[in-house]
Amino acid sequence: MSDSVDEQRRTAELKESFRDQDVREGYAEGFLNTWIASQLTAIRLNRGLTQKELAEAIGTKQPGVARMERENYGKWNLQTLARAAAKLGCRLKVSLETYGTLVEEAAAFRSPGFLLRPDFAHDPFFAPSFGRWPGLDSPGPVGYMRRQMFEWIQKGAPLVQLRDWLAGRDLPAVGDDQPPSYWLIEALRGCPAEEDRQVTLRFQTLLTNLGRSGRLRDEDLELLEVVTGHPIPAAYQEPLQAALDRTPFQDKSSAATERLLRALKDNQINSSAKPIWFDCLGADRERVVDLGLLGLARDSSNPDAFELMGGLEFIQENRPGFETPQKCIRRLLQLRKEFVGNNLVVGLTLESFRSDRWESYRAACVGELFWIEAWDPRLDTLYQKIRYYSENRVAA
Amino acid sequence: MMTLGMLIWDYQSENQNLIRQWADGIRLGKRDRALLDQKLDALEALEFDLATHTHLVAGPLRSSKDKHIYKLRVNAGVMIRIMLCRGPLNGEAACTLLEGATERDGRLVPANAPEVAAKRREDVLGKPVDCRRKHERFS
Repeated sequence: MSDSVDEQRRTAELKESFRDQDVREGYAEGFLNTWIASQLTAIRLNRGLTQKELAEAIGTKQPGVARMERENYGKWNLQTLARAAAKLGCRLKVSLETYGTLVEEAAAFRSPGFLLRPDFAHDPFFAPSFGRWPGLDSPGPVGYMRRQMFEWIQKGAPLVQLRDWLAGRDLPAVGDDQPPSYWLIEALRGCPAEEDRQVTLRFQTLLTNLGRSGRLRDEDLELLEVVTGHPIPAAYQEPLQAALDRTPFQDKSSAATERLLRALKDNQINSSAKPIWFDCLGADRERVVDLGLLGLARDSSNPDAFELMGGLEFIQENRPGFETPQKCIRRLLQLRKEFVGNNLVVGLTLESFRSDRWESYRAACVGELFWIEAWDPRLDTLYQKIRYYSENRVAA
Repeated sequence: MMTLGMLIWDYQSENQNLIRQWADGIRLGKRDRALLDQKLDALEALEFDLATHTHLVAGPLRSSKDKHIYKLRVNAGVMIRIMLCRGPLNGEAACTLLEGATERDGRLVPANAPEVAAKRREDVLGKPVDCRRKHERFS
């Protein structure tokens, strides 16, 4: 696997500076603190747990978990950490290590995704036998790619390698004019759900982390070009959509946007998603667009299209917020996740800015439009209302 | 292939890196410099929200009028508090270190660090090329 220039440069800098004892000890102390607090937080959020829920499970109170998630805390108790790890479906590992491994870990630590670990149910090691994958022994390109994926799972399914493969790196040509990544995608398709669940989950994680840094990077685009060049399995639609929603396209000069435009022009994008991508490229960053919903609104064969477009225009005119406080965003995403596929748009609207609080939430369903306004974020109320409208709409 | 998640910039004036000058001025020890480097590496890697959640970064500071100023908290031999902002250019995944400070008895030294940082943020918005440079490591 090829290292990036950034990683190589960072490795060289750390290697040189670590020759000094004070430097390496200081860096190691900080890295340990960052690692514990950030990983605990990232995995707890990944599992959808609140601090209070985790606290109850490990026999402490919410402020105790809040302290553990502070990177300046420095007084973690091994027993408490072990209980937290168990609740999160992981084990706690404490190990004396060389400083050389710290250089490698620090240089590779480039995203919150690096901190995430699957719980036992999703642990690739305990995955069902991949030997039952259809075509695993076949000589064709799909069989070859499935064998690659099988070995990848055995190695712990590292996301970095999957990303490189999908971006067209480190995979040999398999005797066809299609790129290797095409056959890799094909290898992901058509397997019985139970067998390819682990691969699907890793792939979902990869897509979910796209653009997390606030911009879509070149390698993200390479990946998107590959996955959007094929009809995407349903399991990947949601994280891909979330990645697109997150992506500000206002920087028209970026290499990422150029690549996206080229992918559109070269017909590498799924045709049903094409108008939506164009729309995103021209959109104000403060719009929140449910891509699936917009697709329905643009579908002339959809009898609800007219009303749906009216709802979308309302949402756009009222400019739902883009940047919101972390807590609101997290809850909003949970909300959207719950109602995905239910033709629902939820946006946060900034009515008047006080400190870091957003004061209005608005939502729209197909053919219906409603909103509530509150002086405090009260998503629970909105949640109940959405459920009411949603169920009624389905019943109707 | 992985790349840096977020770019970090240092404020500069007349081609002088004022963040580096501040660090040299308060005579940080090697261990503290390494700790500071590590925290900035972590800030690069983590999402800003996660960095805020783990209290690596606190803010926006109430004492800054425009609510754009945050402080990086590093509890080393000296309580280091570097004033910074997200961006500030539209849409960039970056943050800019604007003013160095320390904390003694719960008070910033210099006390007007957030105001200085806010002013410098305006400078960066006005002349991004002249007023900032890529972050230089401390150790």
